[in-house]
Amino acid sequence: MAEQKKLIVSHAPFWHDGSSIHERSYHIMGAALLPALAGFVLYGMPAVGVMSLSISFAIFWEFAFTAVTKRPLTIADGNAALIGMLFGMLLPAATPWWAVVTGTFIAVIIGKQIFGGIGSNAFNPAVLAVAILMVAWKERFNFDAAYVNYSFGFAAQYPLGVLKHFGVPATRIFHLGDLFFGRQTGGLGTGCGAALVAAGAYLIYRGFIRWEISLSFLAGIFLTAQIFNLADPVRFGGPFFHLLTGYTLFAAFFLLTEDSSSPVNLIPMLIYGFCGGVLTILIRNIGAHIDGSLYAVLAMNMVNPLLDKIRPKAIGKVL
Amino acid sequence: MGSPRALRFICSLAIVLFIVGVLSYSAFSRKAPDPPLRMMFKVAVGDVLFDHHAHMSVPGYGLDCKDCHHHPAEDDTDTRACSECHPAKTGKTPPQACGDCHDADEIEDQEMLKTGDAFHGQCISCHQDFGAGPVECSGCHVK
Amino acid sequence: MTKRSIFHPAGHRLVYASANRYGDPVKIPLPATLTLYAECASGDIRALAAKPGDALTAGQLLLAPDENVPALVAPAAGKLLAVEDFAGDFGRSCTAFRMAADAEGPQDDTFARRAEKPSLEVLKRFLSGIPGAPPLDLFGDAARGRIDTLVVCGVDSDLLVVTNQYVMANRAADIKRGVEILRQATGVDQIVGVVLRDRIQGFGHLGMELRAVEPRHPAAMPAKIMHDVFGRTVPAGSECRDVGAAFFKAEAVAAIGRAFDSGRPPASKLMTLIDKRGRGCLVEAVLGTPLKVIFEALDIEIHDRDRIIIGGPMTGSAVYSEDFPVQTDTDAVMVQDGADVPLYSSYPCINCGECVRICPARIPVNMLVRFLEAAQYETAAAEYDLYACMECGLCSYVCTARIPIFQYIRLAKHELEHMQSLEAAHG
Repeated sequence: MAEQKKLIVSHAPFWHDGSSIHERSYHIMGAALLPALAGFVLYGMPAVGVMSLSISFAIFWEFAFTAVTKRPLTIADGNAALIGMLFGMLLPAATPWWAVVTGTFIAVIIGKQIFGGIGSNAFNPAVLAVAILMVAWKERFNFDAAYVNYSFGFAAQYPLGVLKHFGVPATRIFHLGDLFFGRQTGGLGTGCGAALVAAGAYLIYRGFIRWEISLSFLAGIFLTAQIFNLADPVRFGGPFFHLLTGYTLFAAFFLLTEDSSSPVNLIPMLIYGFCGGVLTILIRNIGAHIDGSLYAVLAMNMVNPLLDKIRPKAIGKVL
Repeated sequence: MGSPRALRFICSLAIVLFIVGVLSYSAFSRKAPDPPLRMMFKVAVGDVLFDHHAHMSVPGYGLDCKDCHHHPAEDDTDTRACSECHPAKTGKTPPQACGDCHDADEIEDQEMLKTGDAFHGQCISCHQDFGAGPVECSGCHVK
Repeated sequence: MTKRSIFHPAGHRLVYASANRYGDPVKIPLPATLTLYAECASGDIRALAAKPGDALTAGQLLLAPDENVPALVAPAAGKLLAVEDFAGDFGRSCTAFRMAADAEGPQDDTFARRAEKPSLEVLKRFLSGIPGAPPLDLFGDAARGRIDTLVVCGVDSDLLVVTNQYVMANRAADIKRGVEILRQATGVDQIVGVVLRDRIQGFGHLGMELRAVEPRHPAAMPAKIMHDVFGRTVPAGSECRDVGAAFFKAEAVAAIGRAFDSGRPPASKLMTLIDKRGRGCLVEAVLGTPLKVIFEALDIEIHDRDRIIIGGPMTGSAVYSEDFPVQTDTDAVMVQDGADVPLYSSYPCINCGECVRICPARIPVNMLVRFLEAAQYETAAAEYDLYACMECGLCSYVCTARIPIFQYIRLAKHELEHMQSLEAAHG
């Protein structure tokens, strides 16, 4: 027989649409860079420091874990870097380095790897880490205390704190326009509504996050805040104030939409997002915490597997 | 996904950002400005955020240093904090008697004020005198 | 691999090609040797009509059809060289017939003598192995259930493939004759042609009703046509014939028409050949022609690490040798450069949901794949709709983690079938 060529044989399909995990990670990171830049401008080099350390340590922890457990090296998929970036953006710019190192450890190892790595984490790793740090070092997440040495050109109190402690009249020092363009304190990458909306719109357009989750979350926030506000306009802030402050927009576009901890079917996505919004406002208005969005995200992550059981019947399904 | 190019990229990203992070932390760590901008008083019943800058600056209340910092009366530039002489539960030895610092004619009351009373007296009386600023507890103390 | 454009995020590549852009077929001359495959072990063949060394006439029956295999007819005159066993996909036993071909050799006239009156028996005996592989075994057997609809597919169920589209548009006379014969022989009244929606205008009278399918994959797959065009849902685990439909490719119908007109079973297969740059052209070659001969005639170079695919990019199957012959159901041959071969990964599902949103059968693919990865095939079938899959390949096409989902599904079905046959054998 004549010399045979060595052909590649594999199963169909023989095309792929070109998507990949690292493409997904880097696009989300690229989009997140926009609100992060707004934070860099506002807080200066300390914000750059927190962010850089956070990303590099998240990569390091994943590398260390895969090396110690002798699993395949997964840092190249960019998911650890993405977790580090989102974690960093939630922190105050004045976070000490040791909190960043500990937090990324919690996010990558406890939030993701011990569940089995990418795709198996029940909770959003970045949110889980921040929630644990908030319990451990409460005062580090007091934005008013964190930024006492910073001079901004605007009221430096944390808007949701002002609302919670002093009621709606005290929030007149904030203008919605200012809040939207990032003239407020908070997490280093979560303050600039304009940048977050632009980044979210890009991610939705490219299909990296689901509009069903983001928009239903915002709808949940808006409706619940509106109802509370109508009931007691002095105690409870208006819907736009809630939309533009705290982690609301960041949660809508970057936290709730995390693949592994969010549903994939239409109706579950809508319920997941909407209930997340309702919970956020409930915690803010009648709960103990100033910003409830992180706890709302974790709570919805927890019910996600149950929600995703609501799914359409397969065509041809025989019961 | 494990292509050498992607791996090289992520490794260089981690290393570069580590260096940037360390440099930012060491070279740009923010020192507390003097005079301070805002101060967070840690109090058991609720922390108080005091806007120092607003009280002293001219578009703010434009108070003179000596309006609040009273000791020693002769030196305008010496605005030491109360706690420098009355350290609260620190290693420093507190003054043993009023007379160690004060002249006899300065002292009206032999009993030493508590820090809380001193601050309350100073903030609330001024707020009341000028009809500006909160006077009730929840106006300053937040839990 | 295809790249998504920023302006068309959602797979604009999934639209079927239009035969309008394709020129007339290139005719490949008869090669010196032909290879014919039958899907049964040589030991099981009851009616081997010729022995190695025998001279063959064009159209001579090599293998009489029975319930398992279609008829095998010598596509050209010549000499039978060898009958060999080999293992096909999933280890199925197959038999290869190699023959030397002679273009000048004599023509067998058994069919011509019996073709006066088209009957199901004649069709089955002589024409079940013609180009297009008509599923004639669906008729006349009470046990198989009643077929009430005969669908003539003027569409191809994979991207870039236009073979049957071309036949439907350019061989109207043959198709019309074929439809008449089928109506007469099978007794089925409802004969419906399906064509792409944007081309439904401009068909002449074909002797049957025409219906349209959307030009977007997987709308032209039989199960999807049944659902969308005929409003009949094929139950999970069943086939179109179980809901009373028989799918005939347009080429098969045209070949039946041509056979009765000319008095000899056609032996030339029309194919869409897709080159390494994704451009297609039509070629016509005698059944049994090795692919190598076609590549040589069209100046297509094959290198190590390239891929040769029988069928289209979504549902075809890769073969390991250039010697693979043209068969009755080879509608397309695709050649892929080694550099363009997308690689699968060993990553787990990241739950992005792309597969769930694109699945035409609404299968919870994200859950299904978790069970398939863990070889929990029975749970996958019972709870996660394994058998609702119509095998369009879209889930693997969009998988962000690049899991070979389609392969897992095929493997699961095969393993379950294997388990069931073992259970049946051992009680």
